[in-house]
Amino acid sequence: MSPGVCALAAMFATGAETSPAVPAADEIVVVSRKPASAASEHDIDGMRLRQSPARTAEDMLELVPGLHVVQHGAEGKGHQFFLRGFDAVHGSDVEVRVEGVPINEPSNVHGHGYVDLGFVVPELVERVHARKGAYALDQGDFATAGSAELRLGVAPEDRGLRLGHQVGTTGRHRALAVWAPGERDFVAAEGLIDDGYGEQRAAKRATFLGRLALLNDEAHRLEVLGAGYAARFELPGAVRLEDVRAGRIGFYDAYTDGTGGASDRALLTVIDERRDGPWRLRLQAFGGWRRLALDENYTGFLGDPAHGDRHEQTQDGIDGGLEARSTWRVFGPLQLRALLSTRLGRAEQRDVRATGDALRDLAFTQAAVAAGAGAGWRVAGWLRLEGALRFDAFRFDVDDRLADRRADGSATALSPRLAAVMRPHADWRVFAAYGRGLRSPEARAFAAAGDHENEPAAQYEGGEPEVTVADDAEVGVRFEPGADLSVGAALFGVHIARESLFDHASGVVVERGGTRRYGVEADVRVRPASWLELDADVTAADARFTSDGAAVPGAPRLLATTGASLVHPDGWRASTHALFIGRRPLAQGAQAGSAVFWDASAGYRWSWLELRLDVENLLALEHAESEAQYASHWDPGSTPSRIPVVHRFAAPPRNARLTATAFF
Amino acid sequence: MNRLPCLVLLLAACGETQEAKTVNHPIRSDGAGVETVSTDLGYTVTTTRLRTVVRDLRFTRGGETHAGLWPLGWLVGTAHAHPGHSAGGETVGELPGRFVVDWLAPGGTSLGAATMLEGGYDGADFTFALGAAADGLATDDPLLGATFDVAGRAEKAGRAVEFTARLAIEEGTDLVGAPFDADVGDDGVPFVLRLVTRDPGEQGTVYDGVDFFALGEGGAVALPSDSAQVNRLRRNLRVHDHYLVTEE
Repeated sequence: MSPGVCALAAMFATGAETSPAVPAADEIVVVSRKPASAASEHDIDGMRLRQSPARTAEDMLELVPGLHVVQHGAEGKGHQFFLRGFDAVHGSDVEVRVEGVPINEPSNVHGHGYVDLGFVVPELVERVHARKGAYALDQGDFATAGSAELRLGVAPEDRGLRLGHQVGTTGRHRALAVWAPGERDFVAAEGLIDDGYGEQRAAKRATFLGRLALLNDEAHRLEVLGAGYAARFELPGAVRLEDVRAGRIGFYDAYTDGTGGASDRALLTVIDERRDGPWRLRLQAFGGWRRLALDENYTGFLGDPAHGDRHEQTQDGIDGGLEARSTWRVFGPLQLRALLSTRLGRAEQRDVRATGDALRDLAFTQAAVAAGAGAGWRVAGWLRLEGALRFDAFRFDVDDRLADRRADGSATALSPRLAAVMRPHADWRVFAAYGRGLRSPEARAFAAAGDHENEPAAQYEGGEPEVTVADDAEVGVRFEPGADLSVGAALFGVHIARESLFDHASGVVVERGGTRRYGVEADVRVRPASWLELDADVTAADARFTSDGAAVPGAPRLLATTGASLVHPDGWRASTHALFIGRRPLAQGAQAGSAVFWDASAGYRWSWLELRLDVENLLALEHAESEAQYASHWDPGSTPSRIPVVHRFAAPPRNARLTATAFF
Repeated sequence: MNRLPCLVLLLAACGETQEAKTVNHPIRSDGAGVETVSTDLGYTVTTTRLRTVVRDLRFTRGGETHAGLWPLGWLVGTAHAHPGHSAGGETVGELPGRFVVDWLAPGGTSLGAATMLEGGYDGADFTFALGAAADGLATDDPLLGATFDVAGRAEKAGRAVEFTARLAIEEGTDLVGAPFDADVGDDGVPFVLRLVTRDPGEQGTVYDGVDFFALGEGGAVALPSDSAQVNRLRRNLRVHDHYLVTEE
């Protein structure tokens, strides 16, 4: 692909201005991009991404400063996200897109905004564009804490046919075949079986991912991207800390056998990008089928002493949408932007206990429409202003088969976005930004709301489902004297006046009090040589409820990472990534412990053969990947306690993966 | 460069996982809430005997647990949907077991020591039960097979009736959301469970809507278990406003 088309692609991807970029040695693709609107905006690409010791695409998101991603199941289950003082659970506060396709699943049976990137082959992730806060026009549903977009591609030197096989100490076998005949075209197939560590963590999956460029010239690009994915995996649940300390259960053990899940997806998207003088237009259509099943038991025999609380959540649905983004450079310093998007989904979801009793049986249709416009104005050589206004509307039609009740409803939100970028010196940029992020209500909330006249008032204190909005603001600075050094820092604040949550336990919409989050983050990236890149970042956040000042459970207060990536011309490759997460508050005054995760990889590439060794948890520390506070009861013969205690999700013990890859 | 703030921040961020701090507090019942009341039908009712069989006291924080809206009852939090993603009320203190509460017993009834997490509390829940021999009840005790044993005197316009009633509430029915506004620490202060015959907020009484003379006047009358009077009394006694937990 020509550099011009590369530039065009990236420009359309972000609704952007053109700026020249110089490909650095061994970068995948260096493309022109929309200038950053905030100091916290990051692009992760090049050797950092390629050498990351990641086993999944979600792991690659961990390279974004301040974004912590954990897996509390086995490979196949969606991850949990932490960002800027948010415990974003499975994606409720972090918008994730892959090549423009929204991946968050609204109203998912397991969690609103559920993100599953299992269908993304990590080797095909070319770039991660991350924005913390919501300051840009195209940040949509679930972008309350921030958003991330994965761009796919194959590095020039890796094009052609690639065949790889990976073996791991956990009984892991992963085969990968990638054929990338051109600049944009690729076809990839992946197969995995892994026994996992400890108990109940086996996983297997098969993935297909392909892209075909039907047109690819300076003025017009037309592409089709398709994916197919099937995963089957076990689920270990969590273990009670007190049981581990008393030796009643091993840290890597599971209380139950047979729990697990399935995740399937088929996805197709067509992208049409055109450029005509000052106009740019990007049209995208996407559609797909999705199925998720999770058979879990977190609480043992607490709710049902006789049969246990094991239950299976299933969701089966189709989803599709259209999106148009356009930019128009009116004259030199002024550029206008417009966005129009629609998304329509239909799904059925059930939650059934092991006894066969249904907890939920729901069918719903949900539609979303977004429209917005904005402008970028270079007021002077040292000052650029951006402003946008976005309108989102959501419509739900819900059939609660269990309650024999149909309901519908809608919700809307208006989101202003503003940013100012000052360049007092060629090497310095100063940023100030404000924006409103949003999270839609979930479909089931409409079935639960508004029909409680016959229930005692004490049992219902919820409200009507509404869009939750987050007011994000930050000021920051970035020092970039050249391509080899970037240092940034930002102060940020997020206010949520009122949070509308659907409480799965009670079946009502809960109006949780307002929250505020203040924090500071800093990052540095340096390339002392063309083959070596070093990076470090730290994020401190204080998240509290505004009503009483209590800490928001789950939100990390301190997160720091450091890493190094090496791709030497002689063929040597290496990388390391270490993460420190400080103590964080859990509910009811409990605290999750601090932890250090350190992964590393080393390898060597001959002309057509590459060997690579990845080591996870280099220090062999017994840390929890995540911790949660809730009640459980695993001894059905004894009197249960309803008092919450700390439960731990074990992080992987030290393990290694050896990969041999042949390039033809 | 002064590295002290960084060091302090790092040290403060390091540490082992800590469970929430647990404390024990005695729980007892008393009759301070049982008073002579005037009902909406014009009766002045004096309660002379009032006993209840309950089990499993729970003390909650962060709202109510919305029992009854979910088939698994008052299971804590959203553990099924996602562990740790808490919303709504949660049980953070408990006193498991079965209790025959004699609200008018001199000196009250000691129920035991509750295990509680430190912090603020908003409400209390318990479960109604049916009296059984295992509860220490005599074979002729009217509480056998019943939840409430009530006796009293109802007066109106110079006439009076002595009444008794046995009320059964389905085993396992929860009473959710009795007021319990306290900041629980490690001081071991006792808490008292009360049945309040007059709702302090709404000013209603547990005898509202009960027409005592409908079944006869003068002397003594045992309200039939299937009568409208007993049904109304049963409904009133299931309302959370007629219970509270407070510091002694």
